[in-house]
Amino acid sequence: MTADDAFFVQLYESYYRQVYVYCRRRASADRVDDAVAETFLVGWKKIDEVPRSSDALPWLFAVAYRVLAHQWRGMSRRRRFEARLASLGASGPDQPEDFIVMRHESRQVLDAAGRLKSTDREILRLSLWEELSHSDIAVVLDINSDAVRQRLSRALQNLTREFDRLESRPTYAPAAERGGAW
Amino acid sequence: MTNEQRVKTLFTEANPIPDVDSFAVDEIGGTAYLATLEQWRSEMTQLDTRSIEKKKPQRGRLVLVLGAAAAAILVGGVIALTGDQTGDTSASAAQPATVTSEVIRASEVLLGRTPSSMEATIQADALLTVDRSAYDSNLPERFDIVLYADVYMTSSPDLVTRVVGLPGETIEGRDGSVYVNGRLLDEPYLKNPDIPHPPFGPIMLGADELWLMGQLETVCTAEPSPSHCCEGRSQTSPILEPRSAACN
Repeated sequence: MTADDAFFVQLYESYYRQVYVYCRRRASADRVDDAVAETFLVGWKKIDEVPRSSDALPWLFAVAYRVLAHQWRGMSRRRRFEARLASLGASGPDQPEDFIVMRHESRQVLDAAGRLKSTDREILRLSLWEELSHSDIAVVLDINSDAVRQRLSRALQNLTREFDRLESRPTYAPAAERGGAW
Repeated sequence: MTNEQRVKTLFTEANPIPDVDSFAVDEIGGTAYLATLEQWRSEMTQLDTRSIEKKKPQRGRLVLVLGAAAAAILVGGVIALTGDQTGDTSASAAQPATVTSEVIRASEVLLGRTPSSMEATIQADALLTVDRSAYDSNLPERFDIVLYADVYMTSSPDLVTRVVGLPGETIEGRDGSVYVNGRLLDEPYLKNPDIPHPPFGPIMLGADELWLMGQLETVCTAEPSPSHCCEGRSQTSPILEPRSAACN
């Protein structure tokens, strides 16, 4: 086994779980295995570029983020097929059943996060879900630590603003009361 | 606790997998995985190199342009939809809405390039502005053109589409037309009204659901298949269970 091979094995065994969970926090279960495999495939092919330090994990996160984004492009076609399956009575693709048991507020905050720019959303997840330090986030996003601090603070402000907006939203009157208003 | 701290706590608690260590992960071990990669490589080298290039062009590009990909992700919708326009365009219609989010009126803030599902109304390369606060104090109305985002996806493109059905209404695709509560829906915005809608429904919308439809007449003329458009079922608040969507 070469030094690179040994490093790859170490990389895989140290971080597989974290990379898996990273992907699972962002994608449905049926996509996660592929995304993780693809991420480590990139790590294997680019083994020379993987940092030989604690930066290796953020490096892998950065790859996984791009892999997940890339995966989506093939998905619109697939989802159409899945929707057809669902309409035939089969159970649909894995969906965030986790959200069913969530408290209203938790769902609301995720909805608010959904209204943010994807970069805001990602930096919040890296900080609050992956619990990365500012310097690790800087590696994932390829920016400096000061910028991380600023962006994080702005993302949180934006999230709070969207959350407040959602809370004060109006709701529809019953259809009967609206009558034939069209 | 300030509001910001509260939201921060809520977001932290909304983590779908709070505990990494106790989460069940199927691992095969680094050495075994390396062996499978080595095996894959030896199989690949036995094949014609050119066929490998053809087989995995996307992956190769992904690896090489990681830097550039960061910028591309910000406009993920554009990438995905431009890609679709060269092929099976109907795939880029309103997503069958299994999980949905806010609906946002197109009118104020610069957003990006539009997907093709509204091509009769909006040019595929037009820049749209979106008023993200439009529905803070008003509700979506019929025929509003809205931005539809699937909030749980990492980077799914937002879709520009049209509100056709409102909460509590019954929507049906019949005889090539759309009926709302049994009444024929007049759709003056269709570019090619002669192309029939696919049959669907009737579907009764829930108290917090909207019926969204894109327009793909231009696509359908190029592709004389029943895939006129895909209808998505959307909600004004997060849903509790996956819903199927009519999609031919």
